[in-house]
Amino acid sequence: MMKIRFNLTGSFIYISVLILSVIFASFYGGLLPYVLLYGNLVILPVSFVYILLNYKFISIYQEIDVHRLIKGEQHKLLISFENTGLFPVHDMELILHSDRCGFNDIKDGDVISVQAQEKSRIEAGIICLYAGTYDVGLKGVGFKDVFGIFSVSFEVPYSFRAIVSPRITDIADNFLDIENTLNSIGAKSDIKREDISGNEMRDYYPGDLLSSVNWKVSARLDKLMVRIPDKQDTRRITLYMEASYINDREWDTELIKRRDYFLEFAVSSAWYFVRKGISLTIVCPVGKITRIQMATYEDFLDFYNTLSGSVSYRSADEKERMHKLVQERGYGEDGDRIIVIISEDDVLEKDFCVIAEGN
Amino acid sequence: MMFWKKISVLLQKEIKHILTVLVIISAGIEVYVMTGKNISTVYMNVYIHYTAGFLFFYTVLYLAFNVFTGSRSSALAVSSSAVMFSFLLRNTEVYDNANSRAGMFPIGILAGLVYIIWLLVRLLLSFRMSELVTVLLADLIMIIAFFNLGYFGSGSFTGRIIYISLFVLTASQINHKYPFAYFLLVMLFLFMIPIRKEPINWEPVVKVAVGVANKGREAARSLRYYFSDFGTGTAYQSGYSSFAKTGNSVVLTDRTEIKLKTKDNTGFTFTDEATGKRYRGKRVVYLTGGRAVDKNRIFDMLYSLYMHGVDKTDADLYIRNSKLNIGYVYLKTGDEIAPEGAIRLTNDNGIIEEGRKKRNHKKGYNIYAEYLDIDYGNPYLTYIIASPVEDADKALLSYEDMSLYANNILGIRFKEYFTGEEYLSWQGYKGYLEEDIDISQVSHRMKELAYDITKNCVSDYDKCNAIEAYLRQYTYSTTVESKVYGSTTDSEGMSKIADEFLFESGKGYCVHYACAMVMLLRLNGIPSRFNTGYRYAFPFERMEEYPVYGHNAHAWPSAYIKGFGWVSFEPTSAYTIAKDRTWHRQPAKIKGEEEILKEGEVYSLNNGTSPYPTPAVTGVEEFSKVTERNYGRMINTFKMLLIIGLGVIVVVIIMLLGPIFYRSLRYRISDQRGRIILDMEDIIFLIKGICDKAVYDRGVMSDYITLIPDKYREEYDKVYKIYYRLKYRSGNDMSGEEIVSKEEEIITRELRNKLYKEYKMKFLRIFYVKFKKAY
Repeated sequence: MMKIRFNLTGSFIYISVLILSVIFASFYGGLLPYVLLYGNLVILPVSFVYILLNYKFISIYQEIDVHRLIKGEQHKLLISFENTGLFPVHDMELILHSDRCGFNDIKDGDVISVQAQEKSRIEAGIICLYAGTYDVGLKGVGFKDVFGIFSVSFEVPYSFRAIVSPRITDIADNFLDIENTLNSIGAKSDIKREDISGNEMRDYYPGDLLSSVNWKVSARLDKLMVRIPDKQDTRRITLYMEASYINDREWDTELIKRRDYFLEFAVSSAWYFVRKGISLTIVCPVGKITRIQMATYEDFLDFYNTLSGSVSYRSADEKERMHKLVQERGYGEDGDRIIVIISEDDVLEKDFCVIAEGN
Repeated sequence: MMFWKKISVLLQKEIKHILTVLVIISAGIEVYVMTGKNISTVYMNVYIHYTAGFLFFYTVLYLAFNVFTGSRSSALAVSSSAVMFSFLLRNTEVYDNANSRAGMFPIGILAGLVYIIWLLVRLLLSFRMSELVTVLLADLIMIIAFFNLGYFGSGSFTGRIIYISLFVLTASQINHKYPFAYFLLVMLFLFMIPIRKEPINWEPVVKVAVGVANKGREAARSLRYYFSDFGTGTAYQSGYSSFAKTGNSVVLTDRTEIKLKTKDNTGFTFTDEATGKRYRGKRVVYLTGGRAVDKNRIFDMLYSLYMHGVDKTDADLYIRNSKLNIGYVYLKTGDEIAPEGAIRLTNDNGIIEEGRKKRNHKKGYNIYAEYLDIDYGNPYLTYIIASPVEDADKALLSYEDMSLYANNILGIRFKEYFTGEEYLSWQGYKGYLEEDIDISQVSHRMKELAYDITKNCVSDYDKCNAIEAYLRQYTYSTTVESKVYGSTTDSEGMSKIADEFLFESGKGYCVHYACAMVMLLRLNGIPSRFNTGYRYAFPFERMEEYPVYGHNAHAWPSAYIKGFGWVSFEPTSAYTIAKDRTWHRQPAKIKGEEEILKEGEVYSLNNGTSPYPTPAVTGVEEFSKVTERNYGRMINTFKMLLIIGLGVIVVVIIMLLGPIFYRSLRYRISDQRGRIILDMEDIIFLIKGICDKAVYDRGVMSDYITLIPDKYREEYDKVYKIYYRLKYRSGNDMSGEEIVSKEEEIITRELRNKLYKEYKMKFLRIFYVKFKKAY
């Protein structure tokens, strides 16, 4: 896409000079007046043509040293320019995605010149400010005409699409204090568990429950043996990640911020349960709606690696399905679970994170 | 790549240098000329061309050597060429000519001096400042030279080079960092634009602006015209329509009400017998509304002419068969507006029979009229009018005889225009209606006046002339404060208007004059009518259309002269009478006889054998010429369309084949790297074409693996890695051969060719399927 902007002062001076040359040519014929007049008339269109030729023959390639970035961490950005045309490119302005990235060694508005048939490179540090999948680095290039009357900017033909992983934080902790939420006494406990029969044995002590005696083993050993109970989570948790359905190409900074928060919250939620040893089922859109079981740290890492680049719907129907699941809130297999719903559309609103009992 | 880079970077510098030197030398010459020295023009042109050519030749050689050797070696090699070149120059005519030799020496010294001064400037100032000072100095000198009629400002080709170079150099100093290649582009464009010796001619622009303004005005009028019936509930007011309610002041506008088109001559020329000078006269046409074809009037006139033995030769002196197209513009009326003497009226629906329609005609309505343009001022005709054959029996002349007679003298197809029934009806018709002699409500004083004016007149025609002459003494004015309300549609109304005009106000416009004459004629027993319409005098210059404005609306009387029929008169003093605008046609002088026309005498013609001349140009003849012109125009139009069509075809072919040739050429002159890159671009393009779904191109080649047909997947995997290796391996000076092998280049090309075949087959299949479906 091309944008043209006119400089007020430059335009005013140019028009004044043009008018003067028209007046001059209205009174005098011959070489001097007409060369002045035509020269002034021709300057702008030729500038425009020159700029178009520059843009047509400049090739831009950008890459980052790693495939997957982490939010807030610095990575190395490399931008290559190659001028394959016959005309030098002079003072081409760099337009960066500075709304979503921070840069070291370059800044928005820096200029670069490339001679004909020449290559040039820029190395700089880049820090992605948000998690998610979006274009980073160089957004566009700008050219000015010879006298600064107007400037033309173009979007780069190929952007670099970064997959930025969110940071693992505790922003979800306050939201997810389920025990405090559901415990009517109000006392906070780390874990609420019930005993279930386990496989470990020990000698009977007076006072142990008769039901915990393992009679078979007792008969074999000729003494009373009781089972040591295991702990079982009293609650099963399902986390629904209701992401927004947005076409890849429509991402703007506000949407990126929203997605960043959403992902960070999801990761924080998962981390919250994992470190408490609570198994978690995550229902999230990874192309299609997928249920991910998470009980261990390894499960969490897998989920974390998948999360940033893959949260999307492959069609609007999948989004509808997700929404319906959220509405039904755990009918069927989630019936006896605690349901946690995070809804990207409602980021920073009251209803962003909803905790409820399964139906 | 290196070659092009060297060329583009070094050439710009060298060209800038050459232009600067050229401009400096030229400035020096101008100074020399302004000091009053005389230099042969031919010599100076030659000198400049040789200088410029030498410098350019030197630069090209220098660059060519510089590509292959170092700059010092190339400078040495080129310098020796320069020395050889100067020896060659010695043998040209320039040296042989003694004058030139004499002139070259001071020029050479001058050029050397200028160059030395320039070098000194460059030594003293920084490079940037020295360039700026040089260019500004040259600007100043050339501007002064221009105003002092210096040599180069005259517009010669050399001068053009110099001034354009100066402009470009000056512009480049404003932003000296900008690549000089841009300024060379500007220079290229400036060379293509023609330069005039005269200042800008603003006339066409002014014409266009006036045209646009007029169109805007017409558009506004059209808008008012189409919305004129809203609000007021009255019909669109115009000069013509307002005559029905008169007596008071009338506002006549310059709004176009009708437009006339004719191929006839719009004027006539004659020689004044007294002075022998040639004069031009304008044709005048009276357009009347609401009458259509007055067939009885035509029959009356023809009968009268017949009774006077008028033949074609005689008739041609005062009757002309004419055609006129009347187009309605800003006029809403149901009346059919047609010229007096109309013999046939048609519109797009056919022949017009009635003079008035119930519904108003709107803008764009057209009437095609054929009419008899009659010169009522011609003395031969006035003689006939003044001496009517009274009491002649109309029945004596049969329809057949009348038809033959009319065909003969007028050249019209009488039977096509007038039926036997109409003719028969005329034979029984007395010529006028009762209302034409209605004198009700006429005042006594008007009766007395009518008698007084005509008491000495013998014939009716004389009476008409006397009344016309009497009324022309009254003052013409459009601002009249009337105390009576009169309508021109009946006798009572006309009497009131006439009475006030004749005896009270003493001034008026055409309506007053016409009402007065009508009533005075009737009081003398002469039937008369009040006519409304337009009086239009054609301009001398021929136009496509003749606009008739509101202020051309007019009223005039007609009188029924017994034995001749209806004759119109012009009592309004603002306009000429028939006698004053006669065509002055006279018969050719008969050998041995002299006829001198004196005032009051008329010459009577009879059926003789004298070869009277006929008018040189008739409407029919002009129409033939126009046809030939049209035919020639058609041929030219066709030729033009053919050239344009061929041009378009050539352009389309160039557009379609141009990219193919361009790509082919690029491929041939590219090195291995260039060829592989071109092949890769084609491969991507072909994959997109073969693939059925929409492709979003991220510029990542690996994306296309899933899109390419399976059988080429492995090959493509190799090829795009070759491409990446070639494109992004570091080392700007590495050519393709150091990164990619010959075999890999062949692999790339073969994949491209295979995909191209696949692409062609796909489109042939699609075309075949569509073709089958269609047929």
